[in-house]
Amino acid sequence: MKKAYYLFALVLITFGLVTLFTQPWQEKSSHAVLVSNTAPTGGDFTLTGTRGKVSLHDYAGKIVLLYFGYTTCPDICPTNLGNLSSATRLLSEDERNQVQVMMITVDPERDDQLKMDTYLPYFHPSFQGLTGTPEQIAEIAKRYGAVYQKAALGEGALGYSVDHSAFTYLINAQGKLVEQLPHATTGEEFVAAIRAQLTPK
Amino acid sequence: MTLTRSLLMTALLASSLSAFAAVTEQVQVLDGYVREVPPTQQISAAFMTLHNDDMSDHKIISATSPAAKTVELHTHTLDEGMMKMRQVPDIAIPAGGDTFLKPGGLHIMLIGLTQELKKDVPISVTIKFEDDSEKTLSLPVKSVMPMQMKH
Repeated sequence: MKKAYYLFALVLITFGLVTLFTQPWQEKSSHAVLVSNTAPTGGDFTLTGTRGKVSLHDYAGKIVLLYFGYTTCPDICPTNLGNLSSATRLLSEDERNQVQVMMITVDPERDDQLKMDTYLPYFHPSFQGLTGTPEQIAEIAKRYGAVYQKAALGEGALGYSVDHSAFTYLINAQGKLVEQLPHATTGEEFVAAIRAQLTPK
Repeated sequence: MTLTRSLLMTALLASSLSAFAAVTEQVQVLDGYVREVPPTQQISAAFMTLHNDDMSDHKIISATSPAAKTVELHTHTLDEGMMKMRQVPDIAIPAGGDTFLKPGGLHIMLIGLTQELKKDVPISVTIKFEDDSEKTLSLPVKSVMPMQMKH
């Protein structure tokens, strides 16, 4: 009897580890809507923005589009932020006032607030760039299911690039993570996802 | 008879000429551009469509540009849920086919920009093929945003 319990526990642990490392919810290239119980929980966080401490709960009542990226990101981040910029400009002014786009750096060693504040407004003046300690960022990324790691960049002068998951996390007005939109989601698709969350008036 | 022979000779000559033609003559570059970057950004990328008119496969083995300290051939792959950018030794262009260099995929990385990328100021990029023949392109700088910013 006891043996069966041990076996059961072992099976559970193995299953847990397998799901942890394979992250099955992170559907490759498909439009992954959160469904399984391994889905990231998201939740509140506090980091540093342009004017000091910024918390997710400061934006209660707004739709937040959260992206994990870095300012020396050569292609993936500019593509995604460019599409988010298009989306922002496709919204009406009223809708735009109910939306906040923010990027948390996955390269806190190189991205200070000055860099974030130079980089993000290029895409749209309303975009917020957030930094913190590597530990703070790792903890938030884990809750949102964002993964990243340093990678050597050829023999180039930049030293390294950062491999990273490229989802945009859609957080509703109640601060709840509701959807993750894959890389290369178009401006129009972002607009549709945002409008689905905005309560009709 | 003489006419047939001379036609044959011409055909032979033409085919041998094409066999000796440099790869750069066989590959067309379409819709090329360099991406405009946010201020202080030190890296950009060149994107384009490569069309191979030839009956044999060809490849780009390297690229250079006066606008960057280092130029590398790169690709992106989605692996372990992450977009991973890696250097590649060459970019193949299949016989009679197209290869697309586009965001999120193959691209020519311009690392350590030596000049500011400005709209309407084209950037020179030279691509080298497997036979060492080269093609110098003058690529326009384009913004990632499909619509222009309203200030």
